[in-house]
Amino acid sequence: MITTLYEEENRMRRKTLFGICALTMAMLCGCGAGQTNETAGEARTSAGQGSGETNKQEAGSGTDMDLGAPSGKRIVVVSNNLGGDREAWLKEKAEEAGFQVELVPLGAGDITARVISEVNNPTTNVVWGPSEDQFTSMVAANALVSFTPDWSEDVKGISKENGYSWPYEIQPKLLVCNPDVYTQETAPKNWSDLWEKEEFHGKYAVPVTFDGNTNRAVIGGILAQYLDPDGELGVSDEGWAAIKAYFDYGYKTPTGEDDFGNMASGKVPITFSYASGLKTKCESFDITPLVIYAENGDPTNTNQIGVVANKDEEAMAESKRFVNWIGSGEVIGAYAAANGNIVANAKAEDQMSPIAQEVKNSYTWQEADWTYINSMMDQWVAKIQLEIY
Amino acid sequence: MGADKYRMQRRLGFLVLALLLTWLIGTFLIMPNLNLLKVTLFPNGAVDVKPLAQIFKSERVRKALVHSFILAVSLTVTVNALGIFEILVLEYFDIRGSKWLNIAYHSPLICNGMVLVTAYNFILGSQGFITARLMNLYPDFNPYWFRGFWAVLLEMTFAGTTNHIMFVRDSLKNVDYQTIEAARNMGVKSHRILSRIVLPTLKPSVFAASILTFITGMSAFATPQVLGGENFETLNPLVMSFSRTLTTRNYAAILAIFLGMVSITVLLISNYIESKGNYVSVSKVKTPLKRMKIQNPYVNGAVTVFAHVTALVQTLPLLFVALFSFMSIQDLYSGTIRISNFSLRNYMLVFRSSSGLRPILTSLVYAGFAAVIVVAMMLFIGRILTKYHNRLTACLEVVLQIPWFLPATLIALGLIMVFDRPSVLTFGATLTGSIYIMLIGYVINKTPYTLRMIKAAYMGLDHSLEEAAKNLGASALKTYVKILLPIIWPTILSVFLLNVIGLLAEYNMSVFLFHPMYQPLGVVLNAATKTDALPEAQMLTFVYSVLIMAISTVIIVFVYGKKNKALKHRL
Repeated sequence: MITTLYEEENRMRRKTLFGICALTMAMLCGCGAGQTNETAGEARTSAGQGSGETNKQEAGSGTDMDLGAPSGKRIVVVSNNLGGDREAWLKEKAEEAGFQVELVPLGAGDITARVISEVNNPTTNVVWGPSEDQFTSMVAANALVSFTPDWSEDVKGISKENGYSWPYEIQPKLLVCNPDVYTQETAPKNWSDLWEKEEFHGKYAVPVTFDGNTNRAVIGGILAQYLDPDGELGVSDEGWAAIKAYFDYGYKTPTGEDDFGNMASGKVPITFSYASGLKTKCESFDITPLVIYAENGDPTNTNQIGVVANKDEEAMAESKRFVNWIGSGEVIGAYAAANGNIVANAKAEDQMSPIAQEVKNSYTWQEADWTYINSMMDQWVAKIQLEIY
Repeated sequence: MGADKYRMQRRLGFLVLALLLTWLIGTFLIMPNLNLLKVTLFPNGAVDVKPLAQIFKSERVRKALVHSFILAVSLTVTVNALGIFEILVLEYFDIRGSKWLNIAYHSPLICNGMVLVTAYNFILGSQGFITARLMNLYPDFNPYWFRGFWAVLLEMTFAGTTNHIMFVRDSLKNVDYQTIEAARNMGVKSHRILSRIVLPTLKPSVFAASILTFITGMSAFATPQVLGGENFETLNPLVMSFSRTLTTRNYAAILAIFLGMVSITVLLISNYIESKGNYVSVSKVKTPLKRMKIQNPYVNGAVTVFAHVTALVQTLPLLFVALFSFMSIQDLYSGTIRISNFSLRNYMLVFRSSSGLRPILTSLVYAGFAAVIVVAMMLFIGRILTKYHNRLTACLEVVLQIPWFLPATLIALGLIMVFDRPSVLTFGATLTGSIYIMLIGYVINKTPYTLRMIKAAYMGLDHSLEEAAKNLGASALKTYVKILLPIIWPTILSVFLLNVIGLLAEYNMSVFLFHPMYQPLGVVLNAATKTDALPEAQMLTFVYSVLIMAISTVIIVFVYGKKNKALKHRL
């Protein structure tokens, strides 16, 4: 009895072991096959070796006006603009227009890191959504292709042109207050009022993470007023004291609370938001907040779109067609109408939602050397995390 | 002559395997990580001491390091206490409702990490469901009562018993009942039987579980971040935060090396104790353990009550996660559960997104393959490590622990940077941007854990069985496959199971390594809840969590079927 049991058990084990071996073999073979595929792909597309440099020159032939109709080639669009209903909306509209897009939702920082690290073997074709300083890093890594979309004239003067990425949206970061707690008169007039005036201490939410564009822009907006070449990391002692006061007197919204929800309920009646988030957040928490337009201007960046340098010319051509399409007044206008964005494209302004119209007409862009600020941001954030926060 | 030839073959086989191993470890584990450390720590070829000084100057970091250590030590104690209590309740004592308890004690397997702690927070946190009730009753009630060290320790203790349920429990089943009966017949008191016979046999597996728990505490991320509050910050959230921005990666690397040194020290100490350990070898003809009634009615009552309270604490958050998935965000944040407001809206959003349910399939396939590969490899390496003790194997073991302390983000970046061009080591393949690189990442991710558990299983093996087989003329391979492997088969299944479940929603690595056409669950889930994402996206996490719990349950039931079969055969 024992022997038969034992034998049966062994048989079973052999089967399972065999299974494992077979699986492993399958994987190994798969790897092998993959390698040949990869290498084939490499050979097919390695015309532009030396990557970015060559691509840049090849494709950098000024405006690409005559790209023609979409070919239907599948392209990968990676974006931080795909939350909620937006992904389904874009997919549907793009398919109607004849594009085959694979939409990949990712955070803006993750997108930037990925595009830069994949520069020798990109998996994405169009980057839609990161801010200009993130695009600056991508351009510096030779990850993008130089290209001028059809609608470049319509966004002229919105941001400094780099020839690679183009703004489609303006994103001021605005203070918002609970209208039951504050009136136009009692609300803060400037960001600096928050920590300088005692009545606001403990009443405003501060950033609790440091990888999002909004939070970084807010920090930049504060330190921008204290730039000093002799100061630590280019900021005067006064500036570091200001940012310390800003964090010390602010409310660090813990996970499990929502800063906008706290503002709506009056618990922490002042918070901030990126402009395009206002429409949906207000709907979520059923409130019409008091939006503050700071007298000294609000930290603002633009969200941009660019095409990833690729050895596959066809994919690049289709990507450019996609950028031409999505950034056009008609399409970006329809997108903004549904989502509350402030468009960069002058032709789409009429289609913006009422709250976006109001913001666009009321806010002022905070004057500062944003290029320098963005270049210092990582180090500032590190110092804040280690010594101030 | 024949024997010579056989020996030659064996040596050749061993040599081939050893070469393969060296290539695998060298190419995928050492090279990418060394390269990354080089790039981040010595960007211009020289040591930059500034970040190091800044880190040591930072009070926040010093405090966080101390907190991490305190948490690790306390957690090791509490998790062991609770875990051993749970397995005694399930296997040793005859307690009412043991079937239910058995199911309940498995809940940390299917719901853990960020989701579980988020659920805790929406129940007990400042705007949580229970806190809101309490504040209605007592207006002065502090909304932040469930925060800080004790909250973190409590959550992590109840979430941390997985290893006890999966592994230590198996060794408890191995205790020979005849020995216990003999002791009892000789008049030994039951608490002495427990402390002198039962618990000592659990030593090797408790040991392994302790190390795992220590490292979990040391590298705790989600729980301190959510429940720790400003006064109880730990190191890993800082590491993660630094590793995500380009110019601060050196800080992350330095802090990770810190964490690593502590972990390695603990590991070396434990290895030393483990090798000194003289484990009770139990009877060769085992009689299965029988559950026994606790004679003292008060003790019995207390144990029963505590057993059921534990079960509730471990299962209720899961129920809440399911409830949350039907709620609107307003209700969630105001701590009100109104059944009349329940809707399928969140589910519709998930199913309507263009990726739909595809991420789940993607993650299942990747996790499954990675789990099989890593278990197969560690079976071989674990065998070498337990059989040969020399500098080389000691070194090998330390190298294989690297993924335990290097943040997953950095490992992933290392892989991308090294394999972004054809290389001799990969036979001319460019792995970055291919569908294979995430699989490699997953295998690396699960290497230390798998090795630890499998090594513990090997350590618990009775050497006389192996010797007997050899004396009977069985070849080493035959002895291994026919004698040793069957004994550790239940462990293998458990490790496989935990690896698959653990990788289902992996994020930190996946976000860099995934192929855009195959988005894994963790990436989809996290993209929906990024900082700049809209608040409503929070609700989608609960939907995905419900789906993950459902899938995990199916996997557990399936693997358990196999495991029970194997355990029965063993007896």
